[in-house]
Amino acid sequence: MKEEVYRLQGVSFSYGASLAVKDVSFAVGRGETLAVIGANGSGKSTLLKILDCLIHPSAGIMSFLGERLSEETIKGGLGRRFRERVGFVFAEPDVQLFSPTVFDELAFGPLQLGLSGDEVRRRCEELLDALGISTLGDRPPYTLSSGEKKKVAIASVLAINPEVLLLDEPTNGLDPRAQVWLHELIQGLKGLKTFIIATHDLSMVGDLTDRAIVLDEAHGIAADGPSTEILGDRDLLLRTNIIHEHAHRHGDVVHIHGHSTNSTHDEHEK
Amino acid sequence: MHIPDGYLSPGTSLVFYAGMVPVWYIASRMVEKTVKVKELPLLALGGAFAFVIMMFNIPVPGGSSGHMVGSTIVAVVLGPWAGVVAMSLTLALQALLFADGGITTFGANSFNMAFVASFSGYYLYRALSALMPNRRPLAAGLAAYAAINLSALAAAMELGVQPLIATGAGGRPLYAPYPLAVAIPAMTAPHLLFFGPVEALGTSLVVSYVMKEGGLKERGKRSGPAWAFLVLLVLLTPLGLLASGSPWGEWGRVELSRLIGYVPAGMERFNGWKGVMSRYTLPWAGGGVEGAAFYAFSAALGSLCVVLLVFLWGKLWRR
Amino acid sequence: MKIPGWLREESASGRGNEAAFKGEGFIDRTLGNIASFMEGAFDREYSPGGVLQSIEPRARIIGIFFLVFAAALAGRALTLIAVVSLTVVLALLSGVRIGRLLKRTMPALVFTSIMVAPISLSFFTPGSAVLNIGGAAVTGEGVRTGLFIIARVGAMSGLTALLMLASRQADLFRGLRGVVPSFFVTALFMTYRYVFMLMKTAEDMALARRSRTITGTKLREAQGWFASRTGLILRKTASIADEVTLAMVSRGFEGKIRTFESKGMRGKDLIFIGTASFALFLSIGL
Repeated sequence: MKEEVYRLQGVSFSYGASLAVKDVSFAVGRGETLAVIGANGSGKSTLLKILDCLIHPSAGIMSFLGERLSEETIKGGLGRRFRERVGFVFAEPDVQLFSPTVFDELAFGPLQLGLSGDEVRRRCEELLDALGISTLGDRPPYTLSSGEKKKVAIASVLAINPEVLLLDEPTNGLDPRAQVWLHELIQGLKGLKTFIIATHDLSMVGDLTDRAIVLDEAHGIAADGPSTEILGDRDLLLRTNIIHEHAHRHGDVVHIHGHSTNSTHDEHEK
Repeated sequence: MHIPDGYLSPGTSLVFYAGMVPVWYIASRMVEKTVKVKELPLLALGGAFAFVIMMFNIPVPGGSSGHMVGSTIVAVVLGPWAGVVAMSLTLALQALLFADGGITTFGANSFNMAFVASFSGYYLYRALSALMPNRRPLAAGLAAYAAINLSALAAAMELGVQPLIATGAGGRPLYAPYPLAVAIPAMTAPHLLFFGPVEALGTSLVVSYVMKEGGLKERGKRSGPAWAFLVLLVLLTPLGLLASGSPWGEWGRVELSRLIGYVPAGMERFNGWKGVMSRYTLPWAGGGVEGAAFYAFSAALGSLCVVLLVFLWGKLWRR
Repeated sequence: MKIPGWLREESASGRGNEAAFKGEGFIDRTLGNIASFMEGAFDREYSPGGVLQSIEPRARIIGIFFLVFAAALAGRALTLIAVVSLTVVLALLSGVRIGRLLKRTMPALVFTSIMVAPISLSFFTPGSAVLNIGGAAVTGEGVRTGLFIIARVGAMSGLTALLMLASRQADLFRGLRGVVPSFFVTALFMTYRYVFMLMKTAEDMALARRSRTITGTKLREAQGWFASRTGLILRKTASIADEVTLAMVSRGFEGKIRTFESKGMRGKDLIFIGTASFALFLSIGL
């Protein structure tokens, strides 16, 4: 394996009495594209938040580029270096878009990290241009369509130029065209950045990632291996409730086959 | 209860801004200490919640419905200091973007609906729920009733003193025109009889629902220090004196200043100006063309100073 | 999946009746409130090419505020007329249509007119009667007093409306940043932004109720509905707040917002502030 970006050993996390992540151990190498898959409520989002040091494990050890990550070290000198290197795209773009204009939104991260105003302006303009959203620059983010919101949310994280990108359910609520856009973007950055993608969109896992970690409904790791192998293991996917037996009718023939649970995205609070 | 622009004299407006600035400052510091440094979004969302809750009409007996202000709920959930900031944000938004309330009266509106209502609502709730630990929704409702009426009373006072402190020619009122004798009943009666019960009902409904369903922790600092409530009472005493003092409408300015004790110098001076004007003579000596020219000249000089200040401030700001 | 038989049948009609909608007025009023909010929020055509728009946002806000205070100080009708005229001229130069200005000013004017109407009676304002209505007399002095107050309210709210109509919201918040500590401006913007999100939720809730309500409802049930919806919104508020905090922290926020350093003011901006403060100083004595 190439240089190690993350190493987790026996990491657990609980919200009050309920366990959300249980005894998880794995390592991520630089430039990997890793999928984290699992049924709703298996702890994918929580794991990503732990990886972004937004919440801290109740047990276990986590290190980033060889340095120990904890509540204490992130408040000390490591915090700034860590935030510059790791970007997190939230599942719900609305929580990530809180600035008056799209341009300000892109500038928020780099400005907080202390880049000069001129440098930030240049970066944002280039990024808007590269992502094909330069017409949105002056718009208030809350007036955008959901696809545009997602694009801006991703752009606002890319503006930091992080080495590691954590994406939480990136294809949720995207129309087909925006999905293609996202696939092309990840394809273009593949190998240059480290991607950790939490998703239950299996087509994304197959097309874009090299390796997949499967979380089961007991919030632990059920499997960790090459994406193609994982996707080929029907029993594993059925057992972890990622796909389910599904009656389908073709003409008069009813046959049963596995089906991803990804058809809707109803896990967000209403 | 939102007082629009033009209802309060500039003196009154300034007094309430001056009064609220330290409150906002302390509140923002207290929030950093008691809640968490990074809880800025919580304040903003508290404000957004109060804004949205005002949109909901609550059905009351008799087929009617009314909306609540929500100061007490926000204060109970966020704590009183954060409540002050959140409610002020709501009011600022309403004044700026939706022409509800005013820019000059923002200080006074914040005093009434953010400061008075948050603190009285919060501490009354704490005190009452200590007395009746098993009936917290009732405690919240009663606290909300008192809080909304206290802030209505404060608004009525502010409006009612206008004819006393700022009059034009022949004593004609220049701002809110009705004396205390009219303003207080006109303002408090609907709140005692209608808006108060709506506020109480809405607050206790929400509190009982939240208690039943759980899942929402109160974020404010836990301790309910009795001394803070006492301080609040002391702060509110002048208002109380105003309410129960002499018979309505018979106050002279002298008595008012004796009662409140702190009618600000600016307000007095301001009246002086209006007094001069009331004789329909121009305020500068002698009148006539030279006088007018001299006056325009001094105004120009004054605005030149303002421009210079802004320019220098801009220079400093950039660094 | 087994579909219950009744769900396969055609829906029965005529079981509810029209009159049964009684008691749901609070839903209509809630929806009305939300609709007028949305209208107020989006009812703006920002026209870029005008005089006010070309002034730097900070200077624009300071200048307009000076004029608002000039109107607040005014002791004579003449001053107020001058301020109103200035507002109209500024609106014309900035491509803001007068109709829109009036529309935004109207609620305050109507409210004030009703509020001050009694002051024209001799009971409040003694003087020479111009009109007798039953026992009460309308006095000339009273009418003048009332009109003066209405004029002041109109002048002040007209200026605020002009500022809103001639500013993009982003500019407004950017401008405020120069006048108010940025902690509050950021919080204010976020309040504004999340009001929309919560308002949409509230609207959906009210619409869902209206679409499901066929027969008249009991008061207790309706109040329970209010309580549960408000409780839900409150919980949603808290969860969004937590997520937003994390999203900000993730991008390097450490409790103090850093923004672009503001550009300096140009000559034009200073002239605008100067003119506005000149008007303010003049109004002190007029």
